[in-house]
Amino acid sequence: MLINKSIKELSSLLKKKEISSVDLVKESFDKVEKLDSKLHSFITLREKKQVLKEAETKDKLRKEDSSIIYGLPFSIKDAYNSEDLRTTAGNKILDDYSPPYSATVLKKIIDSGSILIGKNNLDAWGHGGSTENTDYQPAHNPWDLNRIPGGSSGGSAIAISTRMVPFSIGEDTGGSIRSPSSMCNISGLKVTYGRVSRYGTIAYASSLDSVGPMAKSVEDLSYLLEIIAGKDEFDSTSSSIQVDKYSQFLDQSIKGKIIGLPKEFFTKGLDPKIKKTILEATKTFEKLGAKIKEVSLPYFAYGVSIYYLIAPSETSSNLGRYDGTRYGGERELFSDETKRRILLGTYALSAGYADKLYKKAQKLRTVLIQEYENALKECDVLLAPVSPSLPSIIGELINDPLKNILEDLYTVTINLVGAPSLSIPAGFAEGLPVGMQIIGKKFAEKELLQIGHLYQQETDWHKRLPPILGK
Amino acid sequence: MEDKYKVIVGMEIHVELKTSSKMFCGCKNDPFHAEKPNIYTCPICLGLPGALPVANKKAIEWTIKLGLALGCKINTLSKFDRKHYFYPDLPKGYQISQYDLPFCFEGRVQTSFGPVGITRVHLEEDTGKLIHQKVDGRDVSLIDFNRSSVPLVEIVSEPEIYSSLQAKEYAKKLRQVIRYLDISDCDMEKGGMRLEANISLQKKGETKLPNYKVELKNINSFRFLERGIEYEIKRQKEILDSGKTPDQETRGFNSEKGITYTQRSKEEAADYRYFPDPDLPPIRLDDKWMSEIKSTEPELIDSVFTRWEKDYKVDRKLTELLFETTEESKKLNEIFSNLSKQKLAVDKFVNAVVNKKLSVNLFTVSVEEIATLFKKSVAVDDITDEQLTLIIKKILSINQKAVADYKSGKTNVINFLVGMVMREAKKKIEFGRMVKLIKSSIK
Amino acid sequence: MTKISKDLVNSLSKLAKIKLSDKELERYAKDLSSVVGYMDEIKKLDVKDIPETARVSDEGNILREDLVKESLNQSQALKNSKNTHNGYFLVPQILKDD
Repeated sequence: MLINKSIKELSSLLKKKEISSVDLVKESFDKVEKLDSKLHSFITLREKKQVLKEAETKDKLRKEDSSIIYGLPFSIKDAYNSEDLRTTAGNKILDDYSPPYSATVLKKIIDSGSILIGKNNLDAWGHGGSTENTDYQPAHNPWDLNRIPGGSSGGSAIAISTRMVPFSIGEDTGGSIRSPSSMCNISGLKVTYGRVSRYGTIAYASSLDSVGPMAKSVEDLSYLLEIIAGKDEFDSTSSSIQVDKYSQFLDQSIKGKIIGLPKEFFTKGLDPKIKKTILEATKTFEKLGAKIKEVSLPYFAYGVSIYYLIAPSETSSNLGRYDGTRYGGERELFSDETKRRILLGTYALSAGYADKLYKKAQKLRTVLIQEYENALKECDVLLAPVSPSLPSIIGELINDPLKNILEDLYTVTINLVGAPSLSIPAGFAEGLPVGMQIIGKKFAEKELLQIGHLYQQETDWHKRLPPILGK
Repeated sequence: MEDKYKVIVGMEIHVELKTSSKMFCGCKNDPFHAEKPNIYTCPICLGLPGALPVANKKAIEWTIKLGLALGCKINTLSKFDRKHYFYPDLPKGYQISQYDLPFCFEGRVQTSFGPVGITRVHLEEDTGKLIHQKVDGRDVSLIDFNRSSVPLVEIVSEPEIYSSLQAKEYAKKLRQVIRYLDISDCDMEKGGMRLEANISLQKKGETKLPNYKVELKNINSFRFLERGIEYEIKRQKEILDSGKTPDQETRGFNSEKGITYTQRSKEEAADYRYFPDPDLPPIRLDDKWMSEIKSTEPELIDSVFTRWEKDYKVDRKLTELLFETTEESKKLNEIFSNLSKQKLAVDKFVNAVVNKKLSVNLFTVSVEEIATLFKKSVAVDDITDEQLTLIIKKILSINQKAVADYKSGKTNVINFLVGMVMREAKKKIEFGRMVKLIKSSIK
Repeated sequence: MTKISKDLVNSLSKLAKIKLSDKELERYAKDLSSVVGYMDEIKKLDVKDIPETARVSDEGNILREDLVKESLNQSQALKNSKNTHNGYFLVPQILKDD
């Protein structure tokens, strides 16, 4: 299985002409054809003939100094505008929307020579953590087809978990890269807000949305981040802070680094099996020379309330453009979950309520930032679970709005403060993947990737393949 | 009427800035001259999914310049906010505008009736344009987004305008200042400048502002502004006299009938759900940037007029007819200064130009040439009264019949005599002067 | 505990321009009440003197020079609309309410 190899290895084999892009694309489509009717990782697949032609061209034009991802197949969450290729955001309103432009992040990957296979399934508009809130069939976890793959970037996680593609681009507003990464046993990076351009990303919550890579390993993520990070003249919130050569610092020792465990994330709401798995993981970090310390971030316990006042407010605003005149269908096509969020956001912003709700939440956000900055004065990074529970049975969460949003407790606060967070496999419980997140200071992706990479040198959770692949 | 009620008017004026590109994207800013609809659009000003705004620096600088010219304070920390409402010409479902931290605030405009306070000057984006039509028998609205996201400045006055004439003067003054800064063409017919007036009547003796106001919209000329306000005053007076309070509403002006009419029947306070736009970072007008802007700020137009009155004895009412922009005022300055140095009468020059006696393009022709042309036009009168009287006496002596006709009452025979004298003198001489001298010679 | 009434959901749906059936109004009133009720936990938190954080990127003054860039052509602009006419987008006329 070629796509099980690392990006570095694939690039080397391609350049030595021991394998071809055509081989990779063929393997990709074969996998999709074989498995996707059970998984629903994709909403739109590009036409196979056309993609193969593209692969042939890449094989012909490949040079010694071509990008490390040149000629590799990839997929992208269907929340990104892809020029002349249908983009739905997971909802029938955009069922036949064909963008006249591509998102910056997609352009960068394609300019580096990668080959787009298709658009991945998601919770519509980013609204959800289970990839069930989609008009294109709920997605299934490759580790247990009855369970959710996490979300909202569930389709991307499935595609990598089953090695349909070596990497994908997801998007994280309240955990949407980290949650499916954790539940599908892959690595995903929520970047610092502003690290990667949001231009062309169908907006969920503008002050929280983070564009990020998802792949089989931290090493793979580091190459992708080098390519997609950086200032974009089309995104006023993109950062001009220098982009590091992340892949070159992966092997640096983490001896003496202090890893903080937020007390509030390890309380009774957390499934004891997950807690056990993560505390087990801390032993590996200690073996690598890091020190574990308990920290307290009391207001982080209010994360869900704060997030669910701000994110729906911003989404109610961002979804105002879907009025059916210039594109798309009528507003009544929004799903229940989306309608709920729009109504909640409209409520939180409306005259008479805004002070107690939206504005108060923005003030609490200031407190969260303070607590996080204080904690990261005592520690280098924080370590936390991604989900309070193992992947639930499909249908359980989507029908219980409150239970649904409580699943986001550990991830939403990170978006509120704008911090980066790396989600990597930490073990298994009852045969289901358990991920953990390593949270850093703003723009400290380099450090997170180091820590994650060294962990992956000591463990092999991330190498395990889901049973659906039959190995 | 004057005894019972005091007229209270506040004005909101929108002005399209004539930047090259739009407010939040690089599309061409030229909606009025676009040959076709929807040719100056992009994902940003069309409100496509995923598009993001980037603010036009020049539009911000011009807004600050306008605020400074209106005597405003400047908010050194400012931001853009989202103003939410649904309308087909508003592609995002919200307008990027400014809510509680406008770029400029607390200014003042002088009128002959007294000062009018400026509450705020802020920057926002324009909407698309709606055309109502019948297509295939149905009533439809056609939308053109060429105008969407064009930079729009909103100037809000305090309710310190007390008559329709003052309102007209205020609006004209603003237009003059804006044209002087050359930041907008203010063409009302093209929608480049839009006037709105809030009108209410306060019972004499009351100190509180009236508990209602009527918004008058879609006024596209100064004359209509004056007439619309006049009509409103009459209409509101009648209602108040009958013991009722006028409805708080929005009305339009029908120029053909000269009346105002209800546009929005139910006035519910709109809930715009303002919040700071997360896609746009705050704008910090630091000292360096402010001093850059101030260094390009021209002399205040009022002080230009005052200076000219003082230095050259030229009436403002005439000089303001000669120019619009700062560049033009600078050229005039040069001309006046040059003429003055040559001891030529600047006021006569201004008169001559205004009355079209002197026909020259003040802004394409050089200062030296203008001075020369003026000298020539004045020079035709460089003959003394004594010399002229000699010629007149000669003409009179050989035109005895004309003299007799004049004495018997045919006064217009004077024109004939003027012509004869000019032919003899071989010069063009000022008519009034000639008539005076001929008349006294006849006596 | 804070509750959201059916009437309130109705007014919100009008502000949000989403038509809701009576059943939906009831269902959402219940759903939103449970979510908003949970959020009552922040009622007791005192944040009087704390400033709001509207955005987490630190940079200011990200501005664009006043240069004209290429626009979409007319057919690109119109291509996703279901209702166009002679280069315009077309909607049924809004009642003469401005």
